[in-house]
Amino acid sequence: MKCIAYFSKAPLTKRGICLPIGLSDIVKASNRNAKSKMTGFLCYRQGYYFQVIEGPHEEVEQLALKISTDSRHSDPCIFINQRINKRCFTEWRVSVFDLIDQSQLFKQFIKIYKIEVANFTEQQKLGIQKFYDLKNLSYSKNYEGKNLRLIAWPDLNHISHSQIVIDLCVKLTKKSYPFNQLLDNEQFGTRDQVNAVLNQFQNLGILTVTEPDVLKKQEIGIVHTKTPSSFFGAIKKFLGMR
Amino acid sequence: MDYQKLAIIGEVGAGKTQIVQTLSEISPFGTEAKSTIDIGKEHTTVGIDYGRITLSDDMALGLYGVPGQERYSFLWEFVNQSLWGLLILIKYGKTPNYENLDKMLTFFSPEKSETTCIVAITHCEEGDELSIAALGQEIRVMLMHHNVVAPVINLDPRSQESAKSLLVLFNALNN
Repeated sequence: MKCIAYFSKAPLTKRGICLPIGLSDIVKASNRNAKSKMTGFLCYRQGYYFQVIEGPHEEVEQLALKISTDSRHSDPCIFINQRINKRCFTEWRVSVFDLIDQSQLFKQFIKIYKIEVANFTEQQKLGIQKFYDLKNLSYSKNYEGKNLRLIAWPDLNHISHSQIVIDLCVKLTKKSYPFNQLLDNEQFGTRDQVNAVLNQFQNLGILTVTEPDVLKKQEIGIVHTKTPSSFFGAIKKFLGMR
Repeated sequence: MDYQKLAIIGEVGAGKTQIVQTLSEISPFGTEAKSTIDIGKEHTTVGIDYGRITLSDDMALGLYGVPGQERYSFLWEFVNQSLWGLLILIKYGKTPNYENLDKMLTFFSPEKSETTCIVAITHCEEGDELSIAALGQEIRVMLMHHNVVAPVINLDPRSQESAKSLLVLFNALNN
């Protein structure tokens, strides 16, 4: 058996945006690994791919050759390429969601390959850090007096569609909002419910928490007290919602 | 007259004509024409799909389906006024043209103009959950690059329910 582990860069668009172009095709192709004798995982995060492939020697070699010529990534840096007696993973996993904590996969990998990891060059360590550093991030879960805003919507395929999740996403989409105003009249739910959803957003890395900007306080007040437009009411009526 | 526009933009076969048709109370005008290039679709829209939702005597929402290719950007100019919302349709199954999407987002700049934007993935029935989610991830990276905070949803343009949910979401985001 053989193991290959590498990280590589997502390609740049003509305008220089680092984008995981074809990620869904890569996922589709990598699902074939789940059906074959391959184990390991594929991760994507902040413009980088990280893949560990274990399996029969010949098959891993063939796959690695194919991957090395795939134009959907560049600069592959292979840091493990060796025969193994035992697999590190029992199945094939894919974790391509940028802002999700992937540390469990890496803990398992690093536990088995601790000797190799200890001998990594600085460049190799930095490559892994993009994926593994999440475990060291400790978020402040105290939102009291802070302003909140989303930087992206969560993947609605992978998060509960509860009303409170949708309502908070809608509220935090266009402007930052003071935490305390979110609690007014329990419009979104109880303090604990609001906190739980916000914590979920923060764990996904899609929530920005900032100190209140004194100059913008007035503006936020206006947003909060804004009355619904007649267009809003008319659409609701059209949809039979009132 | 309070008249606002919902611009629906996307590549060939993404479902613009269908969603306008589903949403509209009047049939879109005859903007379907025989395509001169084989693009795997017998008819393709060479102009604007138009539909209209009359909300009251003096209030209406115009639905404008416009091609996502840059060569039709003169049509983007046409719809980019009194925008109530911008709906970007992405067809699952084919890697989107991100250069186009980039140009589209630069042109409409939803973040600067505070236009409500929703990205909808269509043809989801052809994909598995993980691949669709991966496509959503690709799109989200592009949106984040443009500082656009927008939901990426799955949409069936043929379904009234799906189309109505879309309007509900636009309305909530606009409020």
